[in-house]
Amino acid sequence: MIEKKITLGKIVLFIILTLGALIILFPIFWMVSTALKSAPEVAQYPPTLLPEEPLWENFAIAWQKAPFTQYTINTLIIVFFTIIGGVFSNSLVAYGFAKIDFKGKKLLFKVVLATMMIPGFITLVPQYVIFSKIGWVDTYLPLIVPAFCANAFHIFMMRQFYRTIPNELIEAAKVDGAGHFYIWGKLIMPLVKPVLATVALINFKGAWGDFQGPLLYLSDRAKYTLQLGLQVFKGEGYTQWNYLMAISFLSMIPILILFFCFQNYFIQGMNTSGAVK
Amino acid sequence: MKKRISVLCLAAAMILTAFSGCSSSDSQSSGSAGSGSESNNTPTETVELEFWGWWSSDARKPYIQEMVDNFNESQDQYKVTYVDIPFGDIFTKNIAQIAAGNPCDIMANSMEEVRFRANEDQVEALDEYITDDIKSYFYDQYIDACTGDDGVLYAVPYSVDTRAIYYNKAHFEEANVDPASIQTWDDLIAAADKLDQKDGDTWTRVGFMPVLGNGGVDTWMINANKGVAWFNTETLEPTVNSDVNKDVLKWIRDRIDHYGQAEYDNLSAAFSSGMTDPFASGTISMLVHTSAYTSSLAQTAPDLEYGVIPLPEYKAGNGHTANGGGFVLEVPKGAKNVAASCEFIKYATSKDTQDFLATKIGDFSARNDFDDSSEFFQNPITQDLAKCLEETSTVIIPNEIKGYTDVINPLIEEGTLGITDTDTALDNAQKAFEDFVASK
Repeated sequence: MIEKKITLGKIVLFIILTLGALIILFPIFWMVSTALKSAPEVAQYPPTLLPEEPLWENFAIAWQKAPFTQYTINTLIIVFFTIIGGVFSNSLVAYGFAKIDFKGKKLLFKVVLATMMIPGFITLVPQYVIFSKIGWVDTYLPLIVPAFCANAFHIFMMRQFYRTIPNELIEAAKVDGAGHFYIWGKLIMPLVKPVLATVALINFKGAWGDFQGPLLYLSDRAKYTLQLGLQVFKGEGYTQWNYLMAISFLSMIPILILFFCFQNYFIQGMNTSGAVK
Repeated sequence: MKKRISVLCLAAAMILTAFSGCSSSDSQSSGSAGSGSESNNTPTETVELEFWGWWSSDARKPYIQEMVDNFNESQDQYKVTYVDIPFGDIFTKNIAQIAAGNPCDIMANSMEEVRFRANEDQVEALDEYITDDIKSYFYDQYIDACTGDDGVLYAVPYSVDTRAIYYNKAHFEEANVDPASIQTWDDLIAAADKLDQKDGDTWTRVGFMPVLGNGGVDTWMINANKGVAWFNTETLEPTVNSDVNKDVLKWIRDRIDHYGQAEYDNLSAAFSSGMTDPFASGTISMLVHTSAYTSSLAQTAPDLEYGVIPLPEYKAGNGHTANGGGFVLEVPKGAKNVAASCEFIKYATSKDTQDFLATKIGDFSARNDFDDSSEFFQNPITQDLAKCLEETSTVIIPNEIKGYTDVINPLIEEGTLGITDTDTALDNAQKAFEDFVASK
């Protein structure tokens, strides 16, 4: 049996990590606590940490305040196609930058990276005008199609991961007569599962939590997403915080589940992509 | 392999085409994109209109929807669809749609900014459809707010608000304070002192702090100046550091010092959070808030016994002026059915509809032809708020000096927070305002 030494340093580290975890978890605790309170108790000053009498029915009441089941389905449709588009386009573009030599590659890569410096708010109106002119407003297309056009950050992240794969592997496949699409699909993709999972998760999180996109492009209430639907609780002068927190908590659960299921892939993907080899 | 890729590409193309197919049919049926031009509609065709507002809560939306349904049933030429979009975000979406050339048909918007939007070419002129006899049913100051610098009407007043002091009846009875006795600022402070309660160094009850709730420095400046406080309305010259303004800001700072900066910070943070409400919880005895606060109190403190008094006079005889604002209905620039949209606007701002909305929602109308017989005015709180509305000033910032508040507010706040003394804060703000005007 191996005896593990418990040192003072480890105890201090454990306490610091526990405190850090508690600080991070506190907003979630506050969210649930608020979701279980009555409206007068939410407004109480000084605020109460725990509800005097937990109102579990708040979750059911809040869910019935709007067609949240429909909103969840709508959100899942967008999320599904966004993940497909994100994984497909980014991995393909990143492969090109990492493993294919062509004239002007470095310059083109810099141009791609430079797009990260343009704040999203600046392109908001021009992008809306373009989508409006081609008749895509009030559809899911403006929310899905851009995911198929790759994203500078994801390209960079995947390229870094691709560069850890030896070129000899690709050369050997070429000798056997394989083309780039074959190499990318059959040889490379299975080797980069962690970074694919990372990109998928980031796309999921982005599409699931997106508020501004659906707000701008969707008008028909039947097409609303979950995040847009949450606004039903926000009034001009008064917000139904308990219901808002209830649905916010429910909408957070899928992200938590996904993260815990794929955390090994996710962490590996982020570590390898960020590390200098 | 190439075949597989081709199949994949084809499948992706088919999916996208399917979505595109949805898009064209959907956009045709939606109000904003598919309203169609008026000239394309024969008189027998129903014109579809989209009406944007932000009223989505249970307390408001059902009645807005009922009003829209009533309009749709009252005639068969127009069909209005109400779309609620979150407050704040609705304006971003509106700007984007105007830029794209397919805005909604009718939009609720702020009254204070009509002139600015008219100047920026964001709204349609309504003079052709809203005639003088219709305008005459509204108070002049609100029609004036809806009129651009060019003298053209760009919006119709929909609802207005005011500010008043809400007081806790139980606290007043306990401290033996008569609300009717609060006529001047001195009376207000005397009452607050009676209402204050302290346990050692901790305040257990705060009588009154001027800049909490929905009352800001502006509220008291406008009250003391009987209207515009920061500039001369005729010459537009800055008057930030006038003697009256210096006296007012010092009074505000003295009240914060009375309770202590920490107590102010705590209470201010509580209100800013949007969740906790120290007045609803009985920690504060008097609070400045808008007339819409009643709907919030109905949710957060349904059992609270409260009353309303007008803002007191700065000095006896100065007047109980409160700052207020409101919302208008307008037609965004580029909307396809201006005439049809105006028919709905006329309906929504008519006496019967406004009476219905006021009774159900609690908002005040800008119309001048209401009398005490309206069901809305039977509520005592409403009656008191209506008196406050009579002395309400709606400050419209002229386009020539638009944006000056961004320059002076941070400097004035330094005085409110005690970072600099109040006179210096106003002197600095005056200088900044003068520089701002000079740079225009």
